[in-house]
Amino acid sequence: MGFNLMPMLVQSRDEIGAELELNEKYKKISEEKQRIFVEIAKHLPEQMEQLIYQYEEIEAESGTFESEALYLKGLQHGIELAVMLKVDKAMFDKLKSWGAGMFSKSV
Amino acid sequence: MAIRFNEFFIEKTEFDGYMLDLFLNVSDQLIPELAKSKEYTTARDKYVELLEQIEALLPEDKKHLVSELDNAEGNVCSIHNEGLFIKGLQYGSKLARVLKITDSSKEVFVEDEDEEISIIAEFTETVNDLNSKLAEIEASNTLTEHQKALMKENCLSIIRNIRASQVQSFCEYAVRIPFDFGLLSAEQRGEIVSVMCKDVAEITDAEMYHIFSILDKNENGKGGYDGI
Repeated sequence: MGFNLMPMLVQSRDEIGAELELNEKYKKISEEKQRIFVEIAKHLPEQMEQLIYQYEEIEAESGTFESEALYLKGLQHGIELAVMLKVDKAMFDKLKSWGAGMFSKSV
Repeated sequence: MAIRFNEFFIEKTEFDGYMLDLFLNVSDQLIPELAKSKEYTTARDKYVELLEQIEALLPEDKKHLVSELDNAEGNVCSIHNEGLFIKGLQYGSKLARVLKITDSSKEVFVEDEDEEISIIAEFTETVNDLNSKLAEIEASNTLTEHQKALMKENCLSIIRNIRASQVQSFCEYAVRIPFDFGLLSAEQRGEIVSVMCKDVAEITDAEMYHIFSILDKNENGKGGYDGI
C-alpha cells in the first residue's frame, strides 16, 4: 500500500468519491466493470475463483500509488501555478469551481 | 480512458486545453518515477500475472472478458485519478495562498536549501532567547503576577508562531518532492507523520532537523524538483 502521509489526501479521496457518485459517466463505467467482473467470476473454475478477488485487491493496491502520485503532483503544480499566476482569493475560488464543475457534472 | 500507468501509455483524458497539457506532462513525469518504486512495480507485475492466470482459466469464448475488465478498470481509475489531480491542484494553490508563498519565498524554500536551514537556525536562536526571557520574567521581583502572565503569554505566542513557521517550511519543503515520500521506508514515513501530527508548539528543534535530514537524504538520492 502507498503512504498515507497527509490527511488532506484522504479528505480529497472522500470528496472525489462523493462527487463521482453524481457523475453519470462514472456510474455507467463502474457498473460495466462490475458486470464484467461478475461474468469472469462466474466462468472461473470454482476452486480458482479467489483469483478474481486477488486481482481486485492488487488493482486497488497499485491504483493507490497512482492516485497518490497524481494527487501530489497536482498539489505541487497547484503551488507552482499559484505562484506563477499570483493567485488571489478570487482566482482561487474560480479554480475551485472549475474543478467542481468538471467532476460533479452529469455526462 | 485517460491514463494507464500499468501499461505505460496514455490514451485520452477528460481534460482539454491547458489542463490537458499539464496532465499529460505530469503523467509523463510520473511514469519513470513510479517505475522506480519497487512496491509499485511488484504490484503491477502481480496484476499482470493474475490477469494472465485468469485468462488461461477461462473458456475460449470468454477470454475476451479479461481485456474488457482491464479497460473498464482503467476507465474507472482514470476518472478518479483526474479528480484527485484537480483536488491536489486546488489544495496546492490554496496552500500557496494561505502560506503566502511568492516567487521570492519559493526561492528560499525550494531552490536554496542552505538558506532554509539557516532560517531554521535563526528561528531556533530566537526561541532560545525567548526561553531565557521567560525565565527572567518568572524570576522578576518587580513585575506583578498579572504583568508576568501577560509577558509570558506574549513570549509563548511568539514561540508558537515560530514553530508554526517551521512547520510551514516543512510543508513547503515536503510538497516539492511529493513522490519521493513514496520511496521512504515505512519507519521514515512514520517518523515524519508523528512529527506532523504534533501540536506545532511541541515540536522540538531536534525533531525538525531530523525530518529535514530524512528529506535531504531522500531527495539527494532521487534527484531534485522538476516542476513546470
